[in-house]
Amino acid sequence: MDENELVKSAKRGDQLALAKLFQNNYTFLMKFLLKISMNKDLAEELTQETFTKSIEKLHLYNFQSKFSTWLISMATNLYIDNRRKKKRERNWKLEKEQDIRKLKWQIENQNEEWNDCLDILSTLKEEHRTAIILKHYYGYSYDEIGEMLHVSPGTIKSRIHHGILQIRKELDISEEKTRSSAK
Amino acid sequence: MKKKLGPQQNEEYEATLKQVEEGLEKLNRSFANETPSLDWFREMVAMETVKNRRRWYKELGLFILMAITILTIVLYTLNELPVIFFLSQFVVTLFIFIYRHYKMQRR
Repeated sequence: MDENELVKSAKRGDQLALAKLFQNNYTFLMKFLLKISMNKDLAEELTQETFTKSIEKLHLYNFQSKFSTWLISMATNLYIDNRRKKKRERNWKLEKEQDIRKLKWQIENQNEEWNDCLDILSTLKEEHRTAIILKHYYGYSYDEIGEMLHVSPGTIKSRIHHGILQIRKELDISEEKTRSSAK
Repeated sequence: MKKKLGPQQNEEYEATLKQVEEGLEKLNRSFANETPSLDWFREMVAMETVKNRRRWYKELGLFILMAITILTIVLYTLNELPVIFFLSQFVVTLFIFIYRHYKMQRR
């Protein structure tokens, strides 16, 4: 059964079809949330939350985009809401730093090298990071991203542009620091 | 407005993009596929469906209760206290007019 048929069955109340749809999209969604949140536990939590919400909203899915795109859109908004709530807490900056350190440790444990870019990417505003990832890793168009984040395509273009320039600037600073410490 | 980049800046921009993509690819590779079994998903879907149904009944019950309460109050005041009923109708209508006028002026 292809994805559209599974969705049609799920909309008719077939729970097995819905379970299969979720299983097929789990890794994709989890890894997407991992990239935007840079926190494995939060990514897993939000993946489940996205599935829960999608059961509630399944009747609104209109086949205009891929099911995975629909899930990504919901997941992105859940992540942004989660961050807004988190920012009201006192120690959120400290917690964020701890999350990045934990992720760095997890990656290095897998014999992968940590990339400076990831460090800088994690310090960008959520809206900028999400737009960059959606555009340059997943290949969505400005229009599609704008629709997902409920802003105009022009705003997305500007967020990506400024985000990349900020990464470049930070990379230059860190390269300069490395050079001066080598001397 | 967005500033146009020169050729060297453009090159740097593209190089940064490449580094970002490489970093994200590393992140993607670092976590193995840990998809739970189909049974786990079936259980989750069944549980959430039951929860949603319960929530829907709860909300419907609450809506019916509120509707009955409001209707009872309206019918009671209309029959037993008609002066208060018409007075409240007048106050509500006046409030709507004042509110609309205030909103129009703010625009």
